[in-house]
Amino acid sequence: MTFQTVAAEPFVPRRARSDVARRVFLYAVILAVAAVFLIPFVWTLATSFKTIPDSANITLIPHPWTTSAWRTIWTQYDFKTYIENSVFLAVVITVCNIFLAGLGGYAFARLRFPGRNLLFFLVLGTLMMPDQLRLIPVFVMLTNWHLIGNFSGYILINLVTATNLFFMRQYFLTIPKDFEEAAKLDGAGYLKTFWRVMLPLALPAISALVILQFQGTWNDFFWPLILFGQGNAAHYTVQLGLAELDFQYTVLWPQICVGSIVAILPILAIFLAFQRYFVSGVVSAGVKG
Amino acid sequence: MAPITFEHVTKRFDESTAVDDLTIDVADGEFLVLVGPSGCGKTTALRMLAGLEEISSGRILIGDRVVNNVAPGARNVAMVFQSYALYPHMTVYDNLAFSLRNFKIHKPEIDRRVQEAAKVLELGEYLKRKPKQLSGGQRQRVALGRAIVREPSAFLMDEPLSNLDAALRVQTRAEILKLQKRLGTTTIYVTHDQVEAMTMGDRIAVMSKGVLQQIGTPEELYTRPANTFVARFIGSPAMNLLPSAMLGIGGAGQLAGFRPEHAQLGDGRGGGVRYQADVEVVEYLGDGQLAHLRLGDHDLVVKLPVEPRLQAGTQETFSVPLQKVLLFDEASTHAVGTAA
Repeated sequence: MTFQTVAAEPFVPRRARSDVARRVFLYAVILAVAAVFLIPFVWTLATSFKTIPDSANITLIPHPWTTSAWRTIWTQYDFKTYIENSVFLAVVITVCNIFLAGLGGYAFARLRFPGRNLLFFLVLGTLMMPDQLRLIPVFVMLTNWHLIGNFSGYILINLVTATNLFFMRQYFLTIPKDFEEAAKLDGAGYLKTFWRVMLPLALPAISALVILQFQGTWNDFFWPLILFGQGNAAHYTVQLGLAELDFQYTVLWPQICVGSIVAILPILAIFLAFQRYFVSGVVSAGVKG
Repeated sequence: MAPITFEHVTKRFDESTAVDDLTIDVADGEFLVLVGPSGCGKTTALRMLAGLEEISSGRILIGDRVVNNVAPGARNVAMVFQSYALYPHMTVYDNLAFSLRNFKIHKPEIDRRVQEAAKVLELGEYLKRKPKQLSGGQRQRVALGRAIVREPSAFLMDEPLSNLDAALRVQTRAEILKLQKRLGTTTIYVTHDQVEAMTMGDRIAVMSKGVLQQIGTPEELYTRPANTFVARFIGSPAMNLLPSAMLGIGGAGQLAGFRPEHAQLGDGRGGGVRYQADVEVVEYLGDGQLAHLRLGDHDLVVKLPVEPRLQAGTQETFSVPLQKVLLFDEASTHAVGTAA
């Protein structure tokens, strides 16, 4: 006697079908959102290969293709210097902020000294003051100190920001005190404890600070324009250089797009280099319970 | 190695007193356990000794030196934290060497001490790893190693075993004891676990609400507790305490106390106190049985041989030798002697 097996139609529960539909819908939404962010990038890249007349057309395919804009921003405009200036300022200001916001944040988080809370609230208070309000007093002050027209004044007013100070303080508060106490018993003074123990433990916060501060300085247009951007091309940053391409009667869109792409690259590199430190759990490995 | 002295040490936090007039002498090379329930002030006392808390009044001496105003790093004591507090960004080697580098010890000497500690604690193969790559037990050994390499005057240990599982805790307990005996370093060990205290300490100091209740050898505390708190805290199951009149002994306003294992089933052989109680629950322990009894309004626990087996719901007669019954003053809670 033989039995013949019949292949039954696979049973798909109703719930599984609705899960598939939900998944398809979710992916469609995610792709739509991604497209909203991606299209400007694609448009920028496409426009960088267009001619100036063609750049007025809203198309994603250049007609004709040209690398003219990629050449002229290096030859007719000194973008190399602008990038060097931007990198210099972003690096110096970011390093200063890490060091000073780290030290200050640690002091506000851990050290006990008279007037600590008052001082901290004063620091936070500066966050409520818009840049435009400070513009004239800062400009007058820097003029009196002969710090207009070069980088010194700009670096001075950006040495450390209240946001970074607050950010570092909050992070230090989350680090268990046991580490500092162990370091104290191990014979480390305040500075060594800060430098060898606390600062490395704050690496996730520092990574975030590096990305945000570097990006903030790199993208800053307002203060560079006021302090050293008035016709002094040797001090131009990338953002001032891009503005240089916006004339009264014409806008060099292909060149602006090339400049924008070039301007994005360092930010992207910084983000890729530091984003892995965002992962939490660095601190928790050393303490138990 | 050095003796340690607490002289009338008090610590106040705003309104509350965490440690009240603590006076203890710890001999050179002694293993003293500070034990008590949570919030009794034992950790605060240890932290004051380490220099991590300021002293409100009194003096602490390490050897002949008053250390009230000496920085933690200059006290030459090493502490093992409950959380281990290993530096997560450093390797095991760097964790062990960190303090020695701070004290400007020469590199070859640092290497010698680290290698020796690693050998003793069987950490040799983990020296290049970071704490997150180690198990709980290995991290605990690194924390011990960090204390050993210092070759300090005293080890301070703040519940170092509380994060280990039961089996590893028993094993590590023995390892710490062996290590301490070998090195002969004065050790103050804080725990809330009375079993740890009984098994490890040369002497035990029992604290409650910031006040030292009694200090003595484990046997002294077990057999001659100074008050009802120590009587109940030391020993598991806890000592039975009930008005002495219920057992027909002692005077007015006295409590009678006896250990569960000192109770016998039946009338005994004369000279003891007898009582009849209802058996409510019987727990089989393998080598014995634990009977939960009800006598009037009081719950009692007795530990008996496994045979004859008791049955819950029955009424039985029990006896306790008189010399094993302790009497306490009900008002002051202080011990007044034995019933014998």
